[in-house]
Parts: sequence; C-alpha cells; structure tokens
Amino acid sequence: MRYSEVRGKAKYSKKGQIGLIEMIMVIFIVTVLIVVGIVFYTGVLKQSIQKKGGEILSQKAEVELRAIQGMPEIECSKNVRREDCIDTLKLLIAKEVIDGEEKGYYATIFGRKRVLVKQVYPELQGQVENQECTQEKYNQEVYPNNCDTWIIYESRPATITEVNKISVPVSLYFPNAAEDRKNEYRIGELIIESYR
Amino acid sequence: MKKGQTEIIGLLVIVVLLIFIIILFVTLRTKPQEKAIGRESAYTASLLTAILKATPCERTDTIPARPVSIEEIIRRGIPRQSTCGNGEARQEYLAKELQIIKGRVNTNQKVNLQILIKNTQNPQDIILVGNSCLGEKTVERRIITGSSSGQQERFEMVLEYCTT
Amino acid sequence: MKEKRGIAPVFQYIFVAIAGIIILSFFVQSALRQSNISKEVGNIQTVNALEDNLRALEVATNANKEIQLAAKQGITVNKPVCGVLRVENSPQIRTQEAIFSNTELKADKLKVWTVSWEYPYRIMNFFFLADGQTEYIVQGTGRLAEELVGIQRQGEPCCDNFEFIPKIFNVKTNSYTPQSGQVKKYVFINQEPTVAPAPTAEVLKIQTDGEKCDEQGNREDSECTGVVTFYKEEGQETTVFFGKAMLYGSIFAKDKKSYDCSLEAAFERMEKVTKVYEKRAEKLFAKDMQDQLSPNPTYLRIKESLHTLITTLENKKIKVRQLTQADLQEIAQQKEIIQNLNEVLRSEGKGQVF
Repeated sequence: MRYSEVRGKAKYSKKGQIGLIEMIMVIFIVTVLIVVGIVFYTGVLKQSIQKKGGEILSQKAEVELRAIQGMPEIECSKNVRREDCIDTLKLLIAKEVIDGEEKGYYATIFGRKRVLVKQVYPELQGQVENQECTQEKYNQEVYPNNCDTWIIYESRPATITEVNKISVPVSLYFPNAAEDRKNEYRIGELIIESYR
Repeated sequence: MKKGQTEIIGLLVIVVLLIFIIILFVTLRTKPQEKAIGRESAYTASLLTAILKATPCERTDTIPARPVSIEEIIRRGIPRQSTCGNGEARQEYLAKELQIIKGRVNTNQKVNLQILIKNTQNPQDIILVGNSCLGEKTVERRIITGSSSGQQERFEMVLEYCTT
Repeated sequence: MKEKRGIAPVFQYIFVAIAGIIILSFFVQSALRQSNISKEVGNIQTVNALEDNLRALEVATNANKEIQLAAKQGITVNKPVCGVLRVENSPQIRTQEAIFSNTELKADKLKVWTVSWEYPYRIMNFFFLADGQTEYIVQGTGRLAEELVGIQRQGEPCCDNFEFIPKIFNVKTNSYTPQSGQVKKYVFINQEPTVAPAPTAEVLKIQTDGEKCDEQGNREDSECTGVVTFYKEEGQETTVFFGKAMLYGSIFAKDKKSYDCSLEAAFERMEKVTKVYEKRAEKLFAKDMQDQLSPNPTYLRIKESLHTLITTLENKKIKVRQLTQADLQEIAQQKEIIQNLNEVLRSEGKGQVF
C-alpha cells in the first residue's frame, strides 16, 4: 500500500470519527435540553396547580365563612326572626351536636376543617386566654367570664401539608333565660382553619 | 462555509428556544395577585354590626340591671346610673372602648382600621380612633339617630379598612 | 478499495422518518391528553364553582341569580342517587342541600333561586334550579296563582311579604298561549288539570289546605301546607308539602322521585336543627333553675315537644316516599304546639327558645 493511500484512509477515518463524535454530542445535548425542558415544564405546571389549589381552597373558605355565620345551628334567632349575631348557647350545643352526635352528617358540609369562635371584646381578666367554653364552665356562676373559645367542629387529616386560616368579626349573643332584657352582646371572631 | 453556517443556525435555534423557555418561566412566576374586595366588604360590615351591638356596661337604674349597647350610648348618651366608665363624658368613654376594640380585633400589622363617629349637626362632637387609610380602602357607614339632650341628633359611624 | 462514506442516503431518510414519526406521535398524544385533562379540570372547576355559588346564596332569605357557565354544559342533580351534583363527567359532589330541579339540566346560564324554609324556625335554604328550557304555566283563579306570577291586586298592601317566582324563570299565566318547541310545565292551583301529560308537557296539581297560602301581606309561610300531585303518562303520584318554600319546590322538581330527594334532605336537616333547639331549651331551663327559685316549666314542656317532633321526623324520614295528609297533620300539630309554647315565653318576658 502506498503511503499517500494509508494517510488518506487515516484522514478519512479520523474525519469519520470526529463526525460521529460530533453527532453523538449533538444528540446528547439535544436530549439533555429536551429532558431539562420537560422537567422544567412539569415543575412549573406543578407549582401552578398547587397555587391554583391554594387559591380555590382560600376562595372556598371565604364562601364557607359566610355560610357558617348564617347557619341556623349557630345563628341568633329571636322570636323566629333572624338576627345578625351568633348565639353562644348554640355554640355550646354545637360541640355536642355538630362535633358530636351528628358529626357524620356535618362532615359532608365542613370537610377537613377546624371551626371555632373566640371572644375578643371585652378582654377577660385572669388566666382565661384560649380557655374552651364547656358545659362545666357554663354551669359556673362566673360564666361567660371564665372562658373565651367555643369549638364548633374539628376534623384533622392524618398528615397536614397546608393550613389556610381566615376569620371574620362577629357579634356574640349571650342569652339570659330569667330575663330577656338582660341579654348581653360581646365581640368575637369566627375562625376557619382549612387543612390540606 | 456551508457547514459552518448550518452549525451556527443550529446553535441559534437552541438559544432562541432557551430564551423562549426562560420568558415563559418568568411570565408564570410573576402573575399578579387578585384583590379580594368582597371579603373586605363583608369584614367591615360584620365588624360594624358587632361594635354597635356590643354591651360593654349596664345601667343600674333599672331592676334588674340592664346591659347597654354602644349603639344606645351613641343615641342617648351614658345613662345617669350605670357601670359605663368612671363618670367620663360619652365621647371620652366611647373613644376609650373603641380603641380597645380596635386593638383586640386588628392584630394584623398589615391591616389598618379607622373608626369614626361624627355628629352631623355638631362638628365638635366627633370620635376618631386609628389612622386614615391612604389609597384603596373599604368603607362601611351607618346612620344612627337619637337624642341625648332632648334634641334630635344624627350620627354617622364610619369604618375604614385597608391593607398597608 | 471502496471508500466507506457512512450510511447510505436511503437508510438515513428511513431513520429520520421513523424518528420523526415517533417524536410527532409523542407530542400529538401529549397534546390530546392535555386537552382531555383540561376539559375534565374545567368540569371539576364548574361543579365546585356551582357548589360555592349555592353556599354563598345560603345566607339569603330570598335571592335569585343567573350563574354564567364557561359553555353549554350538562348538569346532573339528584341522579343516579339523591344528594349528588355533577357537571358533564366530573366526579360527583355530595351535597346536603335541598335542590329542586330537573334531574338533567343543559345550560350556559343556570337560573338559581333560593328561599329560606322556616317550620317554624329557620331550618335551611331551598334551591330551585332551571336551565331556561322549560316554560312554567300557572293556572288558577285564586290569589296564590296570581301571587306566584307576580300579579299585585289593586288596593292590596304592597310588597311586604309579597313573594313571587322571579321573572328569570319564565312563568306565565292562564291566558298565555304556549310556544311550540319548549317543554311546558302546567301548574294547576286548587283545580283539576285540563291538560294531559306528554313528553313535552309536565303536569302538576297543588291543593292547598284552606286559604293559608293565599294571604298577601302579613302571613306566616309555615302555615301554608297541602298536597301535591305529579301527573305522568303512566299515572299519578301524590305527596305533601309544608311551608311555602316547599310549595315552590314542587313546581321546580322534575317528578315525585326528584321531589322526594329534596324532601329527605329537608327532613334530615330539620331533625338536626330541632335537636339544637331541644338542647337549647334544656340549657335555658337549667340556667333558669340556677337563677330563679321557681324555674319556668314552659322550658321543659317545649323541650318535650321538640323531642316528640324529632321522633316523628325520624319515623317520617323512613317513609318519606309515602307521606300522606295524616303525616302532614301530625307534623303541623306538633309545630303548632312548639310555636305556642315559645310565644308563651315571649309574653312572660323570658328568653325564648327560638
């Protein structure tokens, strides 16, 4: 074989190898870019869906806040007429009925949530902050100055990834059996904590 | 040369694609927040109702003693015999109570609340608690008519709510 | 020697073609999948938005609204079982609301009306849905027939408690000549039907107890009771209503089966709310006993009456599809007792139960 023929073959062989390597590198880079693009897009899509889910949860919670305020199970009712306040006596009962005997029924209405009412005015003296109002507390003569929280309903999932809390000020009505004119009103907050 | 040109075009395509992806990403990241105006309106309406209904004290000139609401105090003044304050004037007592209410209800630093009660016939008779909202705000008003000193009076209660 | 110059052009083209087809089919498949997912997400969003709209209206005593949907969509209510809501093929949503409507609606604008149901205390809101495909033709000569279509008599006290079916529902009177093509629902108030049921003609007869439903102006909606008859080609089915809101429900319900679904939801909720008031009476009595030397016995009496009502409701719930006028009388009597006892408390200056 002549030297120039060998050199030519080697030249072509090297060129071929370079060409092959080039092609492999291009395919590799393009593949990497496509994969990065897909991962990126999926990540952005996931973020967007999570954000949308959060917004929907927030929107739903606000609708529910107003709906719960107007539920006959807790809303004031005087001489059959509706009044724009929450009946604290019904709140005590809510614990027994909504969060108790009939929880299965109300679970389809409330879902995974914690719904509570907290008194904010007047400020209570002593170690009363976050004290739950129970039947026992109600029976004491100092009621309602011995507690400030009524839990209407509570249902937590096994694992909580997100909690969305919203609230609205409400008028709290304290009925007096002995004397209708002695009914007292205070200011509270209706709080909903939605779980995800 | 031709091969070089092809390679450059190829590179350009990739760069353009990358730029496009980055623009898409930036666009999706900076989507503006929508304002929940309905929520603020419901909040102020509910708060105003709750304030007017609240009974911070009671009158002791009846048997049994009867609770007195803030609305009643605005309408008719503080009853002669009551547990409402320590002999202060109506203005002073209401300003104090409204300040307490505002502090207890508004614990969010990002929210500004202002409560104003003015006598439409007597500009001197005014109660103002909190700072005014600059810019976008939600306002709730109520008219309360009454007579504390024999004369017909007309009060306007205004609640301003805004985020800072 | 032959020079190797790489792959022959033919094979290159084949390779490119195959690769191109694979890549194209991948993207086409993704696009189609994305499109289906979009549609499903849209349906889920619509059904959730519908539920949110209903919940938002729940606080109103009487309100109506037209809900704009993204496109003309099929909405299924109380089908295949009671208490479910669905848009196209979205997952079913369970609801405790009492919705009176056709079981299958098709609309891009859904008409919604809500009225508070009180018996005698407020229990829940009833929802009446329509898609605009049905004409409601009210036939009757009494005041109730006039009130339903919004006719105000001269010299009558206006507007206080004057309740009529909102205009968005296309309600017509006696003199109207129905247009062909639309489904018609003939509602006969206190008179025998003069139209036979047909595929595009639904027939309903409402027989009220006395004139308790008739009085414009000052009257109690809960006093309005009676019997409803749904006429079908294969026969007729009868049930009862108590409360004006339930009367409206019978007009919007597709048939007795659909009406019974909402009646069941109403009974369920009435039982829960009555339990709350029973316990309220109990607590008021206990507190009264604490404060007074001789506690008021009316609290105990009203508590017992409420307990009786709860038991009655539990029994009636089981036979909700076979309710008779006798059942209606029983519930009405108990309601009357409870209402009177509450009134006694009011007259004595005591804290009322409701």
